[in-house]
Amino acid sequence: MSVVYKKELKGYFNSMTGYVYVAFALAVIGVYTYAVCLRQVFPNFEYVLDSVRFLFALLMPILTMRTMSEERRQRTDQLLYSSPISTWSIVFGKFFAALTVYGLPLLVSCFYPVLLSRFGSVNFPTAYAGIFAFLLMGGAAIAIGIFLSSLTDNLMVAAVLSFGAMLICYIMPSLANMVSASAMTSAMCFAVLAILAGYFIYETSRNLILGGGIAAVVVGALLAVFRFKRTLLEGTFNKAMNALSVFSRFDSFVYGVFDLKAVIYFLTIIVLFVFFTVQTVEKRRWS
Amino acid sequence: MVEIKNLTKIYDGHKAVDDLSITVEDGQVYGFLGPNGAGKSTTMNIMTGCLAATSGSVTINGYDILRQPTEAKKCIGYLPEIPPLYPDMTPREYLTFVCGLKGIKGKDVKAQVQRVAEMTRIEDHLDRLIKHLSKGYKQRVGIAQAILGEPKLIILDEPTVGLDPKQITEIRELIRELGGRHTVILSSHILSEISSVCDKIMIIRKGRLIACDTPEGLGRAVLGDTVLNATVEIGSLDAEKLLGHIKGVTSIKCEPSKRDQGCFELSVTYAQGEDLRKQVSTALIQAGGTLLAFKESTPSLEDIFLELTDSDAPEAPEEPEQTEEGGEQQ
Repeated sequence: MSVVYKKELKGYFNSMTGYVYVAFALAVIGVYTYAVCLRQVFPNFEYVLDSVRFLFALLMPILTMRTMSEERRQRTDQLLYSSPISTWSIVFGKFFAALTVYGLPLLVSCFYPVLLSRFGSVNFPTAYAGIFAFLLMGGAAIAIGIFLSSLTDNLMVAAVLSFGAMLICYIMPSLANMVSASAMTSAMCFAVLAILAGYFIYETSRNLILGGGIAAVVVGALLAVFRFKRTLLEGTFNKAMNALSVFSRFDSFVYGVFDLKAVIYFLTIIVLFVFFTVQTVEKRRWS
Repeated sequence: MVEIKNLTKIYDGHKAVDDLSITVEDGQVYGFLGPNGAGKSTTMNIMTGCLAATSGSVTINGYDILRQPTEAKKCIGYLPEIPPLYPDMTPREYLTFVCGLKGIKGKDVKAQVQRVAEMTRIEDHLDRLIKHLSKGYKQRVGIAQAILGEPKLIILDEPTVGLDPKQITEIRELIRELGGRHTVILSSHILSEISSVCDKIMIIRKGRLIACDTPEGLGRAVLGDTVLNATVEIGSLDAEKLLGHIKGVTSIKCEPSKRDQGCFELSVTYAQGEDLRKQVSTALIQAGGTLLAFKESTPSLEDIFLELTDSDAPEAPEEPEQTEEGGEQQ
């Protein structure tokens, strides 16, 4: 893993990517620290992080779009897959390299609360918990970005995909609010998703019985629940949508709460999407 | 060294590799020969674990490539069809990175990088960015990467593509050098390349192994006949009557020459190892003919290759390369 990690990290700073990202991130944090802490005189550094969250969400694709797709495009993936290292260590190496680049501006920003304390009292625990959570949140976004990058060998497609995904993750809470919480809506949305999933399974496996069967079973189960235990479905789809809102998990840290649930959520997303990436790569070998 | 058993790979209903079984012995240079799309690259990708087979197994040095991938891959150095290079690295950085991938540590790294750089003659270009190197040098960096760490088995997919004639000769010499200490498998659709460096030739066509032998053995086994071509100036010629009685002659063809008036083009076929030149020429001269041209020829590897890859199914055109690596990049 350390071999891939070192190579990737070097790669970020051999090209402009790493410098551009770090410079932009530092500028953004700097401007907002000035605006929030110095102009509006809030002693809370976590407010700064709250304000820059959206910009960071948009910056993520810069870090992740190349990771897997570039290897495929250059055919260097064949070198990695014929080497005596596991796919897990390749993907985790890339993940930690991206996380390191992402974390560099945050490391610099660790100094800001200390600086601010010169002018008044700063709540250090909430500030540093905020930075810690911001790092994990970025980790989750990176894992998702790497997964999307593994789906294509086209850099632009990977960039647009992860850009779209970050945007959707960001506005998911608002989207979830727009959807009616009634049982009927939930059942219908889940049914549509089940049918789409069934079609996707059919497309990849060319097995009509498997794809259709899975869709039919899920839709049947939904109908049964809707008929006999309607309350179970009320608001369920909104909850499912909210499960995808990576960035809103940071909210509690802004309010000064160390939210263990959010920490576990971020870690779960990281492991899950690294797992998906490994599966995508392994699957390609079998196709 | 390598044991391939009943290997089959199907892409979207197309059989790229079809029930292929091969045993590769230690310390020899094997040549994989076949027309484009015969399944060479696919087979090599499966052998190195880049691709999984639909069915069948590959064992490298006693390790199954799917069940014990780490152990098996430690024995392999692989140069794919397109050298897997990072354009933003220098060859030195790149080779050091590959050392890491192969688990070469500490002091060995520098020594190994230096050694392969000398072997592939890239030592003067170690600190230029790979993207600024010419195609020939890129290919050499690819080969250097494959032989790094002295793997027992070196697999080279079309190693001389894109090189100039001088570089081709150098790479061939290098492969011959490697042959003693390593087992080398290389693929090519160029005959002269294979016949000049390989101890054994495996000809595959449409994913099937159709011949595996030494270059000389192939000549003997497939087209066992020598052909004697002659141009004779003679009034009239009944070749069958004149030469048919000579012992050993298997077939005689005779037709009036299109180029020279009053001449006949004659081709006499007999088993390899026999020499009927004397009898044939004496008979022709005694019949009053003048020999204008007289040449004996044994089948070249080229003939064997064409014979093996074409004769079975002349109506089917060769399909384009169906491997993942094919098509898009060509």
